[in-house]
Amino acid sequence: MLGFVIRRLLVAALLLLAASFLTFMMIQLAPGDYLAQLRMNPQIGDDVVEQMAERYGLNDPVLVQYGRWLGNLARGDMGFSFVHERPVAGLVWEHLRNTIFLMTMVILVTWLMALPMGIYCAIKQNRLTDRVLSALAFVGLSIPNFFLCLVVMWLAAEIGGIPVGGMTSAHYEYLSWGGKVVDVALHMAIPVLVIATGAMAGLQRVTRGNMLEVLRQQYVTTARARGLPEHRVIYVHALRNAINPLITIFGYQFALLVSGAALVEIIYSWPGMGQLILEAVLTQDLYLVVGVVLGSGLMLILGNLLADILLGVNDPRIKFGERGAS
Amino acid sequence: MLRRRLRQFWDMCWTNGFLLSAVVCLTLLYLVALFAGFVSPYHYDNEDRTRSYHPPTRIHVFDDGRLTRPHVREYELTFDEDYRRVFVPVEGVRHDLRLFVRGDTYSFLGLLEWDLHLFGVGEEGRIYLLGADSRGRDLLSRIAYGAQVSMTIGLVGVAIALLFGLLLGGISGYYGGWIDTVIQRSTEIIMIIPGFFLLLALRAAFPPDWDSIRVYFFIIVILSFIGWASLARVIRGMVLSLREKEFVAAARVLGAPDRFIITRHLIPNTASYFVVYASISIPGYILGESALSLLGLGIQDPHASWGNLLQEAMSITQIQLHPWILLPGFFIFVAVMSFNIVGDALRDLLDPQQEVTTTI
Amino acid sequence: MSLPNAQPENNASGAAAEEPRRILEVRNLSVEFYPGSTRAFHAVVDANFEIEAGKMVSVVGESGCGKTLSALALVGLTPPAARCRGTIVHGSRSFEASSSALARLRGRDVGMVFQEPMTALNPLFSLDRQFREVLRYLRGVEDRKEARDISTELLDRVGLDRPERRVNQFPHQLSGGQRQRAMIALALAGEPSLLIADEPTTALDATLERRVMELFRKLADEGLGVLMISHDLPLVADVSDRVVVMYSGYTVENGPAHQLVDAPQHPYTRGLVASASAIVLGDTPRLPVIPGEVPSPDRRPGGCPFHPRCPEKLDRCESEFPPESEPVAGVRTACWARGGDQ
Repeated sequence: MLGFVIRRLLVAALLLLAASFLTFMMIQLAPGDYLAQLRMNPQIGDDVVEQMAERYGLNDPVLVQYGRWLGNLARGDMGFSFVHERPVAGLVWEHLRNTIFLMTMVILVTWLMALPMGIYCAIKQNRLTDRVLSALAFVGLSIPNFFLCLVVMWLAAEIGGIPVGGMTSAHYEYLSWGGKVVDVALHMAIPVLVIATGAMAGLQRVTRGNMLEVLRQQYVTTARARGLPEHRVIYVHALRNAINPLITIFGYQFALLVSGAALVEIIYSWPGMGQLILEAVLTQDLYLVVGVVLGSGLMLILGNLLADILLGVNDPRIKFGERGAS
Repeated sequence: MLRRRLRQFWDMCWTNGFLLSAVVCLTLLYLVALFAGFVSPYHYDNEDRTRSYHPPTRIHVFDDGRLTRPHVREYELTFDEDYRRVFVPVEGVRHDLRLFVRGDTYSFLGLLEWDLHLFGVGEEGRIYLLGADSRGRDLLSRIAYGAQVSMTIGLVGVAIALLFGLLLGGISGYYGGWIDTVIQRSTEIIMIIPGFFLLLALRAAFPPDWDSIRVYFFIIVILSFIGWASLARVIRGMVLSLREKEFVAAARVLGAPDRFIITRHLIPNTASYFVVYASISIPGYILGESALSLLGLGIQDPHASWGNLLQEAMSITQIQLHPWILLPGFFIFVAVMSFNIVGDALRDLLDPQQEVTTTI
Repeated sequence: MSLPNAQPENNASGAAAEEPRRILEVRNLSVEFYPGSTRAFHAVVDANFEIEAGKMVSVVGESGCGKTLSALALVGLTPPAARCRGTIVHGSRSFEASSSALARLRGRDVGMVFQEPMTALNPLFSLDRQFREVLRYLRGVEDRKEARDISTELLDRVGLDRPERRVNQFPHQLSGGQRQRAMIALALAGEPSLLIADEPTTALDATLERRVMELFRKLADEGLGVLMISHDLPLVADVSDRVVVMYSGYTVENGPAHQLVDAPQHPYTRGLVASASAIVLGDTPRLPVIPGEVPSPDRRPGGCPFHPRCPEKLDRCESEFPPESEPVAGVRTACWARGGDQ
């Protein structure tokens, strides 16, 4: 299994490098760059700009720049953000941490809510509750995250009391330890709710579908015929099997959520990867864009890898190394 | 075959109320997009800054308790005791609502200049059925014009993604070898970056101040560039399994050229999958464009897309004061939901087994 | 109705002392699908049979004849769209066939073995775990060690080699025959008095088929009642005590196994025996097949459902289902040509 993980990570690392190259080229080939923006700033003299260009080797050919960046990457240096005037690695890590934090909560909420709902709907197939919940799931699946963001933001403002935007209040520094936790939790509530809605709807649908299929399987009837109580049949025999494909989805979901959350993060100014890349893109902050792409790609890879490992743990039929990478 | 499927789909519409309403919604939205100039009372850039954030206009059919022609009142901007902007009706001034009125000129179906509008209140008054934006432009008109962008971007985008996915996936699966390796690795590179980040990074490659027409096509290109990868992988798998089927082997034994086998055997056998793929992926394109435009990286003012119309709703105070500026989002929601319902029904009908994930 | 000289089997008046313990009696069992709607139909009509301890009874018929449904009805496992009627007597307790109380018999009183060993065992759990679960719920065995001992013993009893190793394995690590034995062992874990086997050998190859059948015979000889569902008359006739023949939901014949094979009474049973022996002997130039097809239960012809294919059809066969008669001692047959009520 360790071999499998290492091989997967190696392939992923190569793909990430290729992706970074692609990003690097795209931004370099784009008309204009960060320096051009600096030059337009009347407060900054041309000599300062030239100095910067010299220092970061921005006048060198693109490939040379990429080579140098790659060399630095090997030493753990992901480059320097012109806008933030800080090393990219630290910047990306800070924002990545916040995004992972948010995502973890979203996934927790999603699974805790969607799984029982999906199971319930499958057991009560075509009853009223199932129809209502399934219809709601469809709505939840179709409502665009950013639209929901705005609507919820509006409702929250009308109701009042729930902070919208940011991760902490202005007076965060002065709060006690417990107060800090509450403060962050309050700030998280709305983004988590918004992101979880779509994700939950999708998961509920898939859970229901899988459950319905598994409940038709012979081994479920067998389990019943053995005299096991119904709850045991459904929650142990059927569910363990229905969850199998869900784990694969978990990997996908992680990636999709990173993507889907970015926009929510931006709208609610949650200091995560979404904000970071938007800013970097708007200012053509080259190394930062590449850094964010690398960071988000890494999350996607880890999500998929985690899903594969979980799948292997859940299903004795899967042996690691028998399937190809990614 | 196709006729039978269409017939089945038609029958499905009449037994499934959701599906029927989804089809009706989509038809209406496309009609609106097609005849945007005609159905909207004003040009998308016709502004009246004195009526900034004019609330939705009510249509009255009673005047002094008597039934009259449908008409709207004239409103005037004043400030209330808290110095908040309010629109109050001007006594005695009314504008009759008329059908087929002359107004702003527009290009009808891109063929001829025309100035006939479905409805309007004439030159003196303004009608804002869905309210006005910050510059006093009619939101309804802007949404109608926005439909031209939002409703077409999915169609064109999916078509391009299908073209490239089919071509590259087909080649990859059919020929195998190093071509296959190169194409598959490329798809993996694209798929390793979360969609939205790739979208932004790709957008960064081009100047933010391009004009809307160029941006429109460019967004389509970006979105289909992200979209073709997963499609190509699926198609490759299909081709691999189909390649082993008897009818392909038979055609090859008979000496049919590759092009013939691909167009006559492989594509028809995978067609039902594409139909489902298209209807399920279109929402991803709509959402992708809306997201970019919402962030100010897509279609630029004065041109309208449902995404950039929502830009004004990005602040809490604006939404609280003028909730109607959220309406474009509702249209996105309806369009996405309708496509999802249709896609679901098509999948049930054609059952191509595979689940498709959307780009965003 | 029945001839006075013929009753050595059940309803015995004299031999009460030696009569084996009756563990199951099914009286007038009917299974109807979509009752009350326009597509309503009966998949099983008035089935009657009984099983004694130490005996093996086989229900034989072509697919769709209602044999599996009858078996499922005994423990209340019929699909939701079906409604059961009749009486099911388990030992000393009597149940309405529609009663949900039948579910309590599962495992403890009635063990079940299904057709597909590939899909009938939960693929995610090791045998050990599946045994432990059953033992815990049915016999209150909490101790792992004890559960393991019992399961090894059970696996040994059903003839699985190296049971102490097999018990740790997952279903996908076992062959079809091994899985079927594991299934039987699991069905026995609740110490039932009756074992129902629904075509347990169809998915197995011919050599294994016989050995699994012999295993069921052995279990019956050990005192268990066995209800075997099968489409293969010659296969089960060898090992069964009694055979019940079903056709399109109706019981057409019920009698001692050897008698049914040696001297079948009902034209349908005759057809089954004839086509089977032809295969065994292999000397008939043309296979004596029964012409026509089994009608599906929702468009079954009136009267005796077999009449369109019957070589001995009488006029009244088209209008009335024949009552049971006993043309030969011990064999109950429903056929106008075999006397009906005359």
